[in-house]
Amino acid sequence: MKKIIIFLIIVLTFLGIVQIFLSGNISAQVGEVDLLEKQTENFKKENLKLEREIAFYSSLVRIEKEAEKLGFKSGYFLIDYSLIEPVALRRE
Amino acid sequence: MAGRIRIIIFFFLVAWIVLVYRLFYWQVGSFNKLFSSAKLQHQAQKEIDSLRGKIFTSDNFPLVLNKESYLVFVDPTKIKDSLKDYEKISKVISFGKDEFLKIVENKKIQWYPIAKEVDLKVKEQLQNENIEGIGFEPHWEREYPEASAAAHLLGFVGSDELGEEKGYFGLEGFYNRELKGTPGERSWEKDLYGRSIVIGSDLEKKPKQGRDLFLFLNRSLQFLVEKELKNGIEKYGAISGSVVVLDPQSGGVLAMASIPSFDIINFSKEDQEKFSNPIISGSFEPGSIFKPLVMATAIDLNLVNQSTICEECSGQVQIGEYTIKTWNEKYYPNSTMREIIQHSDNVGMVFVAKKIGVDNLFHYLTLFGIGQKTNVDLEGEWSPVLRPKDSWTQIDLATSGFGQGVAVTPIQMIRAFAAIANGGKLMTPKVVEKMKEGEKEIFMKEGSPKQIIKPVTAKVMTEMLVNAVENGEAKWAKPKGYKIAGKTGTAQIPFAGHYDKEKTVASFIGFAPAENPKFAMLVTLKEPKTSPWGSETAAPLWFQIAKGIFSLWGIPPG
Repeated sequence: MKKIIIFLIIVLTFLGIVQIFLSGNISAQVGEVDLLEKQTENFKKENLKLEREIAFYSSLVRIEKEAEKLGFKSGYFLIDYSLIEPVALRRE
Repeated sequence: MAGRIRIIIFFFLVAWIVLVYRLFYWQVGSFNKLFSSAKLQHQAQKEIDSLRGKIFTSDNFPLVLNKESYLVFVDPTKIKDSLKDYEKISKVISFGKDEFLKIVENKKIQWYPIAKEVDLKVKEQLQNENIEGIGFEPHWEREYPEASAAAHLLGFVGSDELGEEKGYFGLEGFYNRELKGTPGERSWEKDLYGRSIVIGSDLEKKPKQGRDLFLFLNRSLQFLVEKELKNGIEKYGAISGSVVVLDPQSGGVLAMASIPSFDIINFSKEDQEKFSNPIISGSFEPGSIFKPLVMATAIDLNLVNQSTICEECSGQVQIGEYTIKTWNEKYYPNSTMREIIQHSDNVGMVFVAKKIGVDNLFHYLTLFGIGQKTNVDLEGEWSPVLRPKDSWTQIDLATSGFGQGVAVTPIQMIRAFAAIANGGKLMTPKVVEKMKEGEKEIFMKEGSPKQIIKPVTAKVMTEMLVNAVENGEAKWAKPKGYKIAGKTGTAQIPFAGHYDKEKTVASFIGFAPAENPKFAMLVTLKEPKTSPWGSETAAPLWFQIAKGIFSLWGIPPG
């Protein structure tokens, strides 16, 4: 019984020391953690901003407008080949 | 002496009992009430907005994003030189000078809003002015990179009666709970004047972002459909129109557009009638596009086959006091079932409907989902009712054979028709394919497909529909080389108890490529002016969109 109590006291003391050590370390790093949190937050916001910009520049609505400015015309053509002779032909 | 001591003891006993009673009353009996009022006195709380989930198309392009905007507030306790600060503020935002000075003089106020919904640029300009008593509260607004594309499908975000953010219509309404996330909260201890106590507690519960939605919607296809629909409405002089494209195998909505639509960015300035989506909540008499469903019923029941001869197709049919004619008053005696679909022969369809009978037709229409909501994941779906079969008369049976006297929504119609493209299996239309919460992907539950007609029936029906496109009224507009299964429709609009001959709903329904369908599409045009017929308006528009899809997806002819 006595051994168990001594063992428990040792374990608890050890854990207590570990806790004090860790708390001390963490308190010392609060500033750093705070800075990292702020940086993360800023990166997230920057990502959102960039995501919006990418979406804006790659939207089909904008691409179409820009293409029109450059003189492109929207359209799709299907070409089919037929062996049927035309009913009438233009003579040169 | 002993008596006096007893009196004192009695007095203290009574005092002790009273004290215990009061303590019990305060600490147990009135705990909740006193605790909350104490909390109200020294605790301040503020909700932190959660970031609403984004909405992506199938190519992972964001159709709906969030844009940060800011509420600018002033803290009079920190303002040192009110006039100088006002000058700096007024360079960037406009705010009344007298009002500003009155506010900043009241040092009991700690927070007063002076501008709402300002963007990042304005915020940065104000920050550059280095004003100590100015603060910013971030808020989120919806942003739409593709402008008003798929506005009906998306819905919008407004405020409910309590001023809380809420999604209305479409996806924003249907998935409001998933999109909005869980708001966070900041609570801190405050003094008598509401100022935060420096050494007091200050707790913050971070908000949980809403889930992102990933749709079946194909962005390029949606763009193409909207553009062609707009052109089609102009070209044919229709007052409105809709196009819906489904993937017949999954039931996924690939594109959905209706005109007139609304400006999603400035929705508050729009007429509210424009908000409801006609594809899920607008009903119409389908007319001839309904014939394939009736014919499929007859084939599935082995009552007819492709070459069964119609014995009553040589002229008009009399049912009671009603005379039924063909749409062009041309009659084809001894037509086969294949020819009835090809010629869109009303008289032939009466022959088929009579063979089926009310009980069977009612049963099959129910199987096809007519008269029931499709349960598409969009807010605002509505379904016309299929009249109880006991109330059907012979004329009802006859007219329903060619799509009159029944009403459907476009989504019901395309869902039922897509079952033919899907080997007889009826799917539930779906807009959202999956949701994303952080890195976790949540796939939507797949509704079990219902085999409503035999695969062989679907195959025979497909052949008949290919023939209808190849040799029917709309063959002139069909892209050459492609096998398309489809049917034209022209339904007169019922008005004050009769049908208006001039006003029609022109439609075309079909799928392609016929052997291995990649899409099923329904085009409807209301009251086209250039021609009332589906074959001359909705069909060419359908084929025009189909050409775009073939080109977009690289589907070769064959």
